[in-house]
Amino acid sequence: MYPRAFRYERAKSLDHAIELLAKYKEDVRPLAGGMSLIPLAKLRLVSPQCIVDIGRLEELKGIKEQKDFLEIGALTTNTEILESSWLGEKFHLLLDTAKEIGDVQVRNRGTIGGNLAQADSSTDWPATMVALRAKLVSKGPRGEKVHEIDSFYSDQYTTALEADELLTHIRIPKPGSYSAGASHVKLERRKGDYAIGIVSAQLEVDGDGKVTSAGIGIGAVGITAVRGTKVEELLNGKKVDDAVLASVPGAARASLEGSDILSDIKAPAVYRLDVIGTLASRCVGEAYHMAVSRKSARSER
Amino acid sequence: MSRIQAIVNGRKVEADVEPRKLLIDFIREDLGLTGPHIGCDTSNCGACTVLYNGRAIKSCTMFAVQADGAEILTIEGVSTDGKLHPLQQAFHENHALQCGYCTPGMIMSSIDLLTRNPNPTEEEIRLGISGNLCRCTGYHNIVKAISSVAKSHIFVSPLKKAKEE
Amino acid sequence: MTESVTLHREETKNVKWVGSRYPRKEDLRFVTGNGMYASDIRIPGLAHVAIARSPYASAKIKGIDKSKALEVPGVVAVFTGEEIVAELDPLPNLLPSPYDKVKDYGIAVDRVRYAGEPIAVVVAESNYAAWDAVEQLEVDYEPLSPVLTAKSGCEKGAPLVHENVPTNVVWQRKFTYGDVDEVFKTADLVVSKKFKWHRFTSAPLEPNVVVVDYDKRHVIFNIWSNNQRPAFNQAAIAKALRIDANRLHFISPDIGGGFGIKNENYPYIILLAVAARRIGRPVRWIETRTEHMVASAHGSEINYEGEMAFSRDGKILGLRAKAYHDEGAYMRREPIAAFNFIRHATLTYTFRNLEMDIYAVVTNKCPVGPNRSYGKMQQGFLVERLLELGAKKLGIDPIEIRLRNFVSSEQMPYETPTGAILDGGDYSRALKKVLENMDYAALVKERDRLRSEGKLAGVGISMGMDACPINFSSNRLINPKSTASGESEAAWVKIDEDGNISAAVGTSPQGHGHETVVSQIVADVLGVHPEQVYALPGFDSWTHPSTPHSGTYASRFAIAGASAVNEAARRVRGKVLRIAAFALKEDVENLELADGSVVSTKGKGKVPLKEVARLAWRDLANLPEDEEPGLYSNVIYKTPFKLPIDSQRGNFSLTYSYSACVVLLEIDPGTGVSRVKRVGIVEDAGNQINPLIVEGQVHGQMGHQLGAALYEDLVYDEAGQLLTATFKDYLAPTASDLPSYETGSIVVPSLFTPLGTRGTGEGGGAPLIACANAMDDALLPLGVEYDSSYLSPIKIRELVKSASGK
Repeated sequence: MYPRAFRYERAKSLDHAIELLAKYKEDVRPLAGGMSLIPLAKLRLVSPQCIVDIGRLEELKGIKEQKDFLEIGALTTNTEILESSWLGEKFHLLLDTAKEIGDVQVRNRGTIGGNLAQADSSTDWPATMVALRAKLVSKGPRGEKVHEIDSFYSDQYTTALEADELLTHIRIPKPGSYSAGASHVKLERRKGDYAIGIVSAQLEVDGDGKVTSAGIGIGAVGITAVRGTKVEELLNGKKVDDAVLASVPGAARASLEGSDILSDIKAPAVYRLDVIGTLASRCVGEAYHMAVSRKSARSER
Repeated sequence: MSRIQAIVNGRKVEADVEPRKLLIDFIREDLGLTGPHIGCDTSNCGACTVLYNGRAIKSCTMFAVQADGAEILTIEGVSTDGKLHPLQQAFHENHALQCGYCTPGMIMSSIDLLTRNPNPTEEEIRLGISGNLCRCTGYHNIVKAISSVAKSHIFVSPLKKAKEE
Repeated sequence: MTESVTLHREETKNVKWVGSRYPRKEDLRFVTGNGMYASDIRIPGLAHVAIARSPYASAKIKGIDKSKALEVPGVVAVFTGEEIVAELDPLPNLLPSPYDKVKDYGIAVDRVRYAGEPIAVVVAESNYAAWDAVEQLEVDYEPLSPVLTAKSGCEKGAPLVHENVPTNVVWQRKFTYGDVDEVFKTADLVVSKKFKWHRFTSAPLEPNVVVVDYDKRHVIFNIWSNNQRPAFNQAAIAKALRIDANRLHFISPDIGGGFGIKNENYPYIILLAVAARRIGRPVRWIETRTEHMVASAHGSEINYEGEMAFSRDGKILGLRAKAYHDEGAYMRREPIAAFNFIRHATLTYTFRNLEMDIYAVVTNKCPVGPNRSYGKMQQGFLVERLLELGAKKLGIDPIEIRLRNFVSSEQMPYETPTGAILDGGDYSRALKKVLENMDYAALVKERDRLRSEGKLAGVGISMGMDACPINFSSNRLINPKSTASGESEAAWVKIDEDGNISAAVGTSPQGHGHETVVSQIVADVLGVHPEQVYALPGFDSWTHPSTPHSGTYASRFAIAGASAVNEAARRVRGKVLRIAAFALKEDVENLELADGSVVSTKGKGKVPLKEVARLAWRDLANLPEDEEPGLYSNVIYKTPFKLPIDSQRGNFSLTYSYSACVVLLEIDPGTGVSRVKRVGIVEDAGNQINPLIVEGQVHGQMGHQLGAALYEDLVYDEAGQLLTATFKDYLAPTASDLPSYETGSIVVPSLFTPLGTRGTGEGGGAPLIACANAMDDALLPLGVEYDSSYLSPIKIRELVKSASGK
């Protein structure tokens, strides 16, 4: 298919990008990897008057370990994350998630920031960022803002960003210990598709195997990624045995109460709400197992 | 119109393009390289896959203007000195193609895969080409072809070759 | 039980290439990106076409205002349906009166009948501009209420899809064989079940493409397209364009997969021909994937109400079924799929009592057309699903019940109740071999292990049959006024003055490797290496021979195409030997053709093929007196077919290849998602000219069939909008979604073809049907049954939940 005509501007710097976005504020879209924008433009479902290409802004690329958090530039590609195997020790969930995204071509072009700003709950990063309690940094004409992930999304395809603001960095708090367990479980009808259920989990345990910190993100069910609050409450301070796991599906569904639920040809709302329980208990089971085995591996050393 | 420059299959090209022109249309219509194909509207089929700065991408999901300054390798640039690349040879020997329409994209994705992972498992091969649809072969012989190249350690990146020369 | 068939098997010495796994000659251009597809054609002055389509399933067109569209920069012309149709006659259909009056021009005039139907043709300097203009067309529609299922289309008072015919049931016939009522009355067991055969499509990766250049000087239309049987379609195209068919010059270059659908792009050839003539420039249309999904040719959609009668010991006594076919809006090839049950109605089994009550109903959906295993897999599904249910009810092992009902190899050739003459085969050997290859006992153990882990798992078995090619006398059973019968294919073989060998056939392949296979056949007959044979690629009506049946469809190459080439090569060979005999003063009987030379077996010397060629073309005074110069033979092979036996019986295919398939299916009870853990198939294609290629066809069937069973579904909403209109929503599977295949074959040569080959490209749907049977096996512990050809996770999860409460 063939997009409608648009004006193309290539940003030379972050400030230039913001300037351009402000200039065409009424009808502008930033272009990073283009994995969401271009398919929509081709089908003529999205046709901005101006597209600002931010793809060359080096200051938004790369992964840096800061004192208290990991900082990922918004233009870092999924492949770059996936190939940063050093992340595995403390941020295993990032690798688990990056591995699951689309296909190799999409991972090569698609950026983490572009994905998060697109605000499609059926994609991988939003749920993972909820699980990791990430902070999202944006910049606009009014300066820099730091958003909590839990308040970043308000609706499908809708974020706290204004049209002239850009997501610049993602900050991920370091886990309290080196023994975090992680799992990213999703249900997709076909490899690489938009998911119809995602559960992303990061769990930390103490020496007794009790959960000391739980982060659970649920995607592809609500119109935004949702925190599995009830699951986190259920797990905190507990050993995750079969009885606890059996309560996870209910807790996952309870966490979604009050959310508008996605419904489409691939999966009606009822089905999504149904299967998310299964996915949640699998995800928690896997993350817990990893946390416990990592913990014991560390104590043996 | 925007002026762009790129290195395509080792050759410098320069052209004026409408910003909305997709890279695949630039490659096929403007450069006349009709090896990469179009099979869908939604970035699913991967028939348009080329290497962009060394990595597999879907050239239908990129504007030509974005490729300004890039190095692009299409299927036409994969064989050198009149010799088939080991993957091309393996696709032939293993009957990994029927209509041939998906083949150029499949081979480009396979190059990305074997460049990063010279010893993939069957599952990794299947994942590696999961961005490319084929409707003729049921994938069986494609997987076999890629696997045969990996197992016999004859894979050489066509990019490396281009650089050395 | 059957008439005698004369065999004329070729006694070629030194057969070495036919039967070998010769890697394909055409690969080189494809793996290097040098394939030449229709969209790669470049012609100076080319203009680009986009087609405006109806957003409504059913509506009146009250007016089209094209003024804004004409203002779009780069637009060359806009033609509404009305303007196009003014230059056309309607397309013919197969229906008997009054339904032959269903009007079809390939473009709507005052009424649209499915969402996606063409309403205007826009020509511009680029595809981008053409689509800009499509958006600017202003069309005044008056929406009507659509008919969206076959059943609702049958109801009294249903809106008429075509207002000039009396009902939506455009074809209905009940076929009865044997004493059906009696066996159903006296049977020990009758199983009945309603099944849904879901709508899906083979969706070749290359969409439809048409390029037309109108040559005013010669009054010729040059047509490049990926039509898979242009010679077959040319009469209909010419008639619609009101011109002589010899004014159409068709070129089908490399085709990116067809699977039947690309028979069906001829309406677009007509639209583009009109546009090209009107603007006096060459025009090109490249279908988008979305257009392909909404408006090419979907596979059948059927509601079956089936019953099967059994004796206590598991013998099938009879089959009785109603079949409601949702045909979509236009009857282009249909009701052939609805009728095709007749080709192998009883599959591989011996039962002789059968009643099929068929309703072909037009609806406001995309027209149904040929799709791989067209009308064949559907009948297989009906028979095999009912057989499976019977086996379960009778407590007979699914393998055992099949063995008890198979037509045995001793009974071959076997005439079925519908008059089909099965051309040999050993069904029990095929089934036993696939079970052995798969280690059936281990497979069952694996199923039970999965079950013990809390999974749902099932093993499914199915036979499939691929009846081919088409004896067009079958059209007489659809419409008594039809005068067609038989089928044919053309080929030529030529050795030029320098000894270069060329061959051409009318089959326009779509990835089937005909260049390779033709080379193998000719190489053996002429005693050369396949690389010494140049087989012309693609199809060009000015260089390739053809007949009105030419093309690749109905798995016909190994029968008609191969036989035509073989015969043409034999005739050239005969002439080579005669000329060589004259030159060597030797008897023809004492000559052999091998390694590029004619050799006397009695030591009277040898003469190179090249020298024979020189004699034949250049040294005419040295030819035998009565020998025509040249080494060239053009053969039209007539597949040996007869007229129907009566109004409901006949042998409408020549060969009946078959397969036996076993599937181990695993289902996640928590999500309803199925996955094929293992799948094995054994097919019998008779003698295989190239086993590598035959195996590839079997893999391809697997991909399509497993895709259809587990992933692919064309779904319309209540307004008649196709919801799965892109590859985002139409789930063509990736390599990660499919397993590897355990394929095998047996070879029982066909009794009726010169080379002992059977057509086998389409397959008979066994993998899909085996999945459905496996699903029932998996659900058995829960006490529920499944009723669709599509294994929808949503429906399966619902079943699991309602049965198990979990």
